[in-house]
Amino acid sequence: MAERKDENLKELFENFVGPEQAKQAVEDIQRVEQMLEENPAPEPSEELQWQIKERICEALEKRRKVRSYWMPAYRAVAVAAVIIFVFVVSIELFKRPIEVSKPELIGYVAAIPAEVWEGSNIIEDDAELSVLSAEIAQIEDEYFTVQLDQGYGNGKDSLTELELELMDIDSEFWERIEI
Amino acid sequence: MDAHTELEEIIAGCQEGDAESFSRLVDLYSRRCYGYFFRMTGSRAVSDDLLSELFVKLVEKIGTFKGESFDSWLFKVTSNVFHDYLRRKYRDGKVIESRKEELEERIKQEQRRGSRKEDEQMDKLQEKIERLDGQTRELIMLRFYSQLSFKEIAKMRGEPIGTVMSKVHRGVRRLRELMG
Repeated sequence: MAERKDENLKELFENFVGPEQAKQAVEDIQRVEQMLEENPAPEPSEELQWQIKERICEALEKRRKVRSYWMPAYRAVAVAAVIIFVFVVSIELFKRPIEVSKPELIGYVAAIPAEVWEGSNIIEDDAELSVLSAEIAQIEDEYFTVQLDQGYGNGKDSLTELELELMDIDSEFWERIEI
Repeated sequence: MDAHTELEEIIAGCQEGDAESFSRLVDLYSRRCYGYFFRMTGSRAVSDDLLSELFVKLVEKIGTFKGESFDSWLFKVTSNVFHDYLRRKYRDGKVIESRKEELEERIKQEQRRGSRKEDEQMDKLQEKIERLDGQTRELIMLRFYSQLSFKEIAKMRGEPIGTVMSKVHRGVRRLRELMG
């Protein structure tokens, strides 16, 4: 209703028709509204208005009664519905076997042979280690020989020879490991 | 207290189920709604029934009012009550019968009013209004009795504002022609 006061009919009509037609349209509307004001429709009688008010009171009373009658029932139904829902859901949950996703089987292979773990003498159990330890013992011997030779002036060549041998062993050892 | 605040207070009271607030609502709106019903049906008896039906329906519906324009909302309900009446009338196959009743009612009214000039003119106006097609008549009456703007009427009826304005303009031009 507030909008009606701010409504500019001429401007509104000008959005759809030319200014002359808009002016005519506004005049027509104002004339008819004036006719309706000058010839008012009959009004509802006082009696009718009282009857309506009485009917409203009855309808309100009825609504209040219905509410007070049905409200506890609605509440009970709502509570029962919740209980049944929870019950059904719980039964469904218990019925279904719990499926725990199993991880894929992962195989492990020992990098170190079982004999090595189980045996008391590692060097005896592992053939490669036996070879290696034999070589180490040999080097130790040679080292002592070199040390002894140092006094006779032949030590430097022997030391170089020993270093070469050590390098051989070292490379041979890593080759074995890579295999 | 301004009219808007007073109306808000009345609506709040109605939504709480307060009979006194409904009584004030009847005092505020019964004339305009009755005028709309009378202009649409041309019958006091039918307008009496429809006005009662409207306010009883408001008791149920007032909770659905969400605070937009109350006049727009109320006249939408009023228009729905009128259309329900039309549907009932057609469904019951009593169109001719009810038309007869309306005419009888009008004759009685005329007899009651005597030969006063204003009354004659009022009846003449109603007679011309009834010669308009239903949709146009309703738009003109909604505009006059609801006091809504064209924009609000267009929104209420879900029609483009241009269509509403064009229909109203055609209707009022025709009515002016008929009234001479």
